[in-house]
Amino acid sequence: MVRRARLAALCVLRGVIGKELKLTFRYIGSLVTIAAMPFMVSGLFIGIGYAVAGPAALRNFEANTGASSPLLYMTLGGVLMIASMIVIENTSTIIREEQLMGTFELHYLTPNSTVVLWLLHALAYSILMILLFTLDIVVVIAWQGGLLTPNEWGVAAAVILLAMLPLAGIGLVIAALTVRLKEVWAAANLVNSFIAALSGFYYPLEIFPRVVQLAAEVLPTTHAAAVLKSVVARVPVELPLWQRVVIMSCLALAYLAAGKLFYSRWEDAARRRGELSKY
Amino acid sequence: MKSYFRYVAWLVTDVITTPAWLVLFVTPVLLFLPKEQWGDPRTLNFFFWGFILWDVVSAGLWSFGMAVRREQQMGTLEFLMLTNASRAVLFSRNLYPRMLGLALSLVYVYAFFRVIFGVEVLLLNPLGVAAVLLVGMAASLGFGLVYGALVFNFKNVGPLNSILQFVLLGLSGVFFPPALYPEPLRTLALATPFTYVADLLRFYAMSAQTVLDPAAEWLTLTLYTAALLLAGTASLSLVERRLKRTGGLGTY
Repeated sequence: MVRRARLAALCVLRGVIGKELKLTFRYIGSLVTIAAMPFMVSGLFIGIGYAVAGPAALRNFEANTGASSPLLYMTLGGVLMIASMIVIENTSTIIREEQLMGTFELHYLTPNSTVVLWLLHALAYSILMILLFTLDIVVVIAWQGGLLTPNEWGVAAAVILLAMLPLAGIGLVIAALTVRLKEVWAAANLVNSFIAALSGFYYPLEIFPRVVQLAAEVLPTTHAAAVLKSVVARVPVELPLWQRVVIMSCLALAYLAAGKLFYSRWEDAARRRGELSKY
Repeated sequence: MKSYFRYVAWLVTDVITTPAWLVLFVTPVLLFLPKEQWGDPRTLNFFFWGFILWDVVSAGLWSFGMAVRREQQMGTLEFLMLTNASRAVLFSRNLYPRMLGLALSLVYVYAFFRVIFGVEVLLLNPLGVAAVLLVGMAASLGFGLVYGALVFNFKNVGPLNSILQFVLLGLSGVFFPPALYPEPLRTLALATPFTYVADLLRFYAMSAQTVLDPAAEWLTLTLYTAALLLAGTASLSLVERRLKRTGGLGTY
């Protein structure tokens, strides 16, 4: 019985990941845009930076960040930023989009936990983001004449996964709170903007006041950005890797628990009132 | 205008998220400068006006350019095509909310900019700035109509919008003068209408030097805007006739 239950769970996982990958690869143009976006944003920043600072640009950048390669530093940040935006937006809007497609209720005909279903969608996005990270970063590092070691890639992939899954918890909170308000995309945009600004994707957080740094510490993406910069871009950071991983694990549990709590409360209330299908 | 004010949450989040986007956008570039120059008013003013100009450029692609596609996706395109109204007028309906949006964003971006960076925004010639922004929006509309005709023809260009936006932002010198570009980028920059909008805006706001003489830039921008509006109107009409002949009007 236990073995059959485990196999069933794996089938659900395979089904969700297969569905998301099929949807993703159906629109190759969007995939290309997502892969290219970190380069476009980095290119814009670097281009403006060199234009305003002139020949001293690289020296100033290294002095301010500890990184010798602005392209690698910013591409790393760009991949993480795009990944976090995608996970939050897709998870936040999942209820609304499933409702609009008319498939939301169908999920309740299965014996699966709906919270687990939506989190499996977030897992699928995270896996896609890891693949895109690999592609983008390998291109930059190879262009600079290097390679990621399997150990470095393993650490980076694990950190991305540990950073993205808790964001799904935030996404579920937004989804549950805004499903009636119709403008869930506005709420997702709000959360995305502050995560993007506070996580230090493109800059070291040490340049901000201590209160801002403390606020940033509660975001898993802050720690992910620091770890990736340390492992891939060789930027010195304050806390050792194991401490960051412990903090990220605690944050992951907290955010996922909050997501489950808010979503389950909404679901229970909606079932009682017969409002699961109410748009 | 009703559609613009229907989604209040978007308006509110637009205001609230502005400081976050300002920090996210300006800080990475400041890293290329020594710390003692991070508060330089002139450099920061380049960013302020660039942020405003970003609105003008993106209007051409996302508002005006995608107006046709949005009507297709809502299923209202065919009804519009049954009327004898000018297609250019129909698909430029976003001009009014975009101008209102631009005016509003000037106010709250200014407020957040002052609070976050603590520098005064340079506005040496308000009338000149207003004139450039108005003509800039018209140029953006013209560009959007031409782009919209392409979207009408090729249907799904969503990913192209994102890429084109960054290309235009970089090429048009929205954040810094194209005079700093190496050749042939500088010549290429002079081929985009937004270069003149950006250059003239900085000229009137900050007395920044223009690539060409201001009078020549005004003439070029005006001619460019008129040409784009005419070309946009003509191309929409051509594409519509072709799609009606081939039965492709309702295919998505």
